[in-house]
Amino acid sequence: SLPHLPSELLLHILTYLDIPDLLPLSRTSHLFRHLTLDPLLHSFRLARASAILNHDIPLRPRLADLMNRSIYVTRTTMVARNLGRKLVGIKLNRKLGSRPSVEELVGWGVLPGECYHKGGKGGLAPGLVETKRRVERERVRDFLRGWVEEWRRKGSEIRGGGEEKVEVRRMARRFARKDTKEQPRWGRRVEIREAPARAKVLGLRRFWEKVGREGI
Amino acid sequence: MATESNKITLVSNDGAEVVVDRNVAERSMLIKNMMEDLGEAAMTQSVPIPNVNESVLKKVIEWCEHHKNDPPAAADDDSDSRKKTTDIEEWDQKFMQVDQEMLFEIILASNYLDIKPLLDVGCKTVANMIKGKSPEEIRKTFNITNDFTPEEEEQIRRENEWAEDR
Repeated sequence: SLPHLPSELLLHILTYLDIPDLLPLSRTSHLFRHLTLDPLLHSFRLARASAILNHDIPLRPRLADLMNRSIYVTRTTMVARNLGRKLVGIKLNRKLGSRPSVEELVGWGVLPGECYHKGGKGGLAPGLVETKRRVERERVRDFLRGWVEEWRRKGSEIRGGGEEKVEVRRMARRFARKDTKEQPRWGRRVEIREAPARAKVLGLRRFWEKVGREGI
Repeated sequence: MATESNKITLVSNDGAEVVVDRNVAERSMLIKNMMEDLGEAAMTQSVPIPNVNESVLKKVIEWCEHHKNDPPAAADDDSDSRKKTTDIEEWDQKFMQVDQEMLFEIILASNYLDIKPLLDVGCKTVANMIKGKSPEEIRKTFNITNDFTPEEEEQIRRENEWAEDR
């Protein structure tokens, strides 16, 4: 095994190692401690290090190159950089300070009124207001749809015939044509198509009100 | 110099005869010098290699065969010491994938036969096995018994403290 090799061979092996590996080795046993502390080994190690340095130091890139590639940063560059950052900070602070308040924005009609609550606290986020309005709109739509269904049922009870359905479908199509311009902003498209839009509902309502007033 | 026979016979310590080309055998400086000293006589007689057994001798000759056309190592001292890295070329790495006993036998044989490049490859292989290991791992790898007393161990640990935590 390794400790049974002659010392000169072990030393030859050690010439391939440097301090970080020699130190752990020196802690394994008396033999290796003795070998790793060999003065010739270390003078050889130093000679090798100096040979490597002599060869490699001239290969280093010049300082000017490093500065050009902003690898080496001088004190002046650092100061300039810090100054630039501070300047941006000051500008930002000033601009942020001059932003209009929520109250002003509500006053100008940029934000909905719910966003501002007197006394500062309790204003809703604009996104929440949007959601709230959407829910309200859908509720109104549901109500109108129910109302129209009811009237349609009543109408067919009165008429008791299929010809009326044709009329309604024609009316619905006419109003639907107008409706296509308005893109749905929420909900699924399928749902939108099934549900009569506001204009359609109003049109049907007018039609059936007329029917109700003037009779068949 | 004899030209009619370019083979010489080596005899290992367990009596096995191995016939090799002269230029292969001359990778060993020991054999090369001996041939130069003996001249014709070396070609006719078998050469005993008393320190090396058959399997190791065959392994060493395998290496010599592969490296028979290598240029002689540059004698330039400066470049030699600078190139002292532990990089090993691929074929040699595969060649050195043997068990530890064989590895040490190869190192001993190449030292005895004076085959410097092979000795270097062997030593680099061992050095690479040591690299990056803790004392305990090194002991385990090479079956080294810890003959330090706890006091000694503590003292060495303290001496080495300067190099730790880098």
